[in-house]
Amino acid sequence: MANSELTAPARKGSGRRTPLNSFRKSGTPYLFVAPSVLVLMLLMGVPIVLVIVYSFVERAVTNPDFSFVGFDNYTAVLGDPRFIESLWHTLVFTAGSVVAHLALGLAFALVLNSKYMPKGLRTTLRSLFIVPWLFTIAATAVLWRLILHPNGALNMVLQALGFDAAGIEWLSSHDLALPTVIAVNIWAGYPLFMISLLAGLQSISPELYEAASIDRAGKVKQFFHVTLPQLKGTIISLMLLDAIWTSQQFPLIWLLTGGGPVTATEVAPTYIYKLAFSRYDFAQASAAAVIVLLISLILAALYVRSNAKSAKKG
Amino acid sequence: MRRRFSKLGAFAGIATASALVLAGCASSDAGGDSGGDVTLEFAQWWQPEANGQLEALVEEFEAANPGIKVELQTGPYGDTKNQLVAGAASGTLPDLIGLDGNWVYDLTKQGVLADLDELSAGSEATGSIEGVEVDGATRMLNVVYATYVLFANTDVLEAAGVDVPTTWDEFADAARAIKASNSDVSPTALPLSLESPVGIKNDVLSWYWASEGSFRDGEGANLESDDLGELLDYFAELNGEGLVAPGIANMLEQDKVEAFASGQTGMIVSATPHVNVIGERDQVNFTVGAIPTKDGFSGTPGATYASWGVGIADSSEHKEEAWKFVEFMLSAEQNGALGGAANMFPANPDSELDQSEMAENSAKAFEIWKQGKPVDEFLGLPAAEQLQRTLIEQVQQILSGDVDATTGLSAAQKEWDAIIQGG
Repeated sequence: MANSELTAPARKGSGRRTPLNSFRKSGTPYLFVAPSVLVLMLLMGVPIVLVIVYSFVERAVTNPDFSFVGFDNYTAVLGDPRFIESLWHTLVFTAGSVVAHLALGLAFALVLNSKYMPKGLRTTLRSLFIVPWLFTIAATAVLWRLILHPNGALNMVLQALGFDAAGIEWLSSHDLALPTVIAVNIWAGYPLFMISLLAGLQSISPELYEAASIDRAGKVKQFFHVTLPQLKGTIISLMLLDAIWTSQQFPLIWLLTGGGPVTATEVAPTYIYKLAFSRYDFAQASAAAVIVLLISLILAALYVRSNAKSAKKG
Repeated sequence: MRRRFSKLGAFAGIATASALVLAGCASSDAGGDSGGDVTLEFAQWWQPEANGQLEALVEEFEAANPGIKVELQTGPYGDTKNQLVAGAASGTLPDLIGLDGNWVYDLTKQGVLADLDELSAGSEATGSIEGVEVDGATRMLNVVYATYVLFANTDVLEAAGVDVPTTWDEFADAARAIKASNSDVSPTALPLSLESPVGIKNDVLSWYWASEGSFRDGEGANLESDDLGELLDYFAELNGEGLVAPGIANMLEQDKVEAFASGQTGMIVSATPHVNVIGERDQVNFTVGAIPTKDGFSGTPGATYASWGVGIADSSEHKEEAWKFVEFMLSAEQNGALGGAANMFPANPDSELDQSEMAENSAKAFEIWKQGKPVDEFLGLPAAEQLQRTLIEQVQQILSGDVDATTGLSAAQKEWDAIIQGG
């Protein structure tokens, strides 16, 4: 009986090659992923398709009788100097944040990975460095609003150190607001880099450093010729992911400055939000969102490619 | 075979469960009518501020109207309008809607709000209550009002040797005296953050309206008036002298109230419910007065107000029952009780405001309110929030001295024209 059960499918399969049979052979894996695909389609696919459709109509959401207007919304958005300015701010915000996340994250990871560091101090520093990650974005924004207030802690500390920092308006000054918001975002985001790079550092074989030492490579040469090449895959993946996330950062900027003063910290997400929920122009907001989506897709494609390369190398 | 069947069965099970969940979501708005009862959903942000009176009102209504139940759906003010816009698009609106008058134009154009004139035909109870009209029909009725008054820290004023100011000149002199007497206290504050742009209406235009200024021009607006320019120049001068608390461009209303309540700011313009908020902190002695008017002004001062309004969703299947609730809420007795509990003023002129529990400063504010002329010129304009934002952007530049008032107002006018014509 057991034997017949085992051989039965083989007999079926070795017979005719019907579409049903070939589906049974190759289709089962698709059935396994079908529930996830279905949920993803509902939660992500449908909203994305809706936004794309909205971007081609005259009035979306607020007027059910909308009519197709081709690329008019895209022309209007791309012709708005504020949108172009917001894209530029997004680029500066993203580039500044990602580069600083990497520099800080790598520096802290190297400190924590140092063999000269006592174990107790290492544990303490690890707990301390990870603190920003424990805050929600809203809590981060409230905390930094208080610290950066003209009468807040930062100015008091700077004054105590002898700087002329009375009444500096970190978030209200047209010149300081964007660098300040970038600084807060750097504080909030570096622990991800630190933890990931620390894991990467710990996985580098000590033999590589021993070999480098035998070749009389100093610490600096070891860093550039052993550490960095070994971390390259992790660094590229982290930077691409961070670029995607940071370019879409909305709540932190919104809660810190609302995109102001005037347009000093207006980034693409705040621009889109104002178009949609302040001006109620969902069609143009959708067009702007699709443009940002396309930019994010380029970054996502680079990320997937980088991951595929790493997987090939094994 | 059995294994394959179990896989297919599992997939079918998941698909069925998903379908059931979706079906459950889709049919959720059809619930509540079992056994012939009607359940009205009432979305609003008032419940926490009404100090239990809203629940009491619902209870009394349900007792007086067997078969009708009211379910309170409470959310934060800031999210309410966005949820209504999204709800209108997805067909999931509540029956009764708590409204801010500034939202009425946009929601009416989206087809959200029912014609209350049609529903109230023959009703004497609500005939004398002010509402907001769009497209020739009343879409919202005011329930209770809060007005904006000048809050002054009496200890700070006393130390500076000045009285509560009543004119622009007196206010500037008082501010200078406060700065001279105590450098740790900011004489005044202007919250002009773009995150929540209400500051332009409550803290800047309230001064303009108090002296009978007006930017309304028929269905549109005209910002390029000398009077408004003069007011903005006045504020720019105060700011230039260091009389306004720093951080204007990202200060929120709650920051302003907090700074006053903790004694860091001497004088602010704020809403009457803040009398209780500041009083409960018990850190400062304060009084309230009318918003200062332009020197030489002798007319009836405009009293800037914010109101809790109510509307009925045009898509509601229970409009008649919803109207019954509106009538009940606006009846003289209920309206007075709700106003008293929330430290706001009833919209029904026949209501007796219950002042027994009211703070002395709230009673003073009520007198100021009665002597003034209610004004909010954003009512009936499209995208009021965006209009406020674009004006704030220009005022931020005027106050920092980057542009003069005439140039700033001219730039704001261009943006307003585009929004109003596009609305």
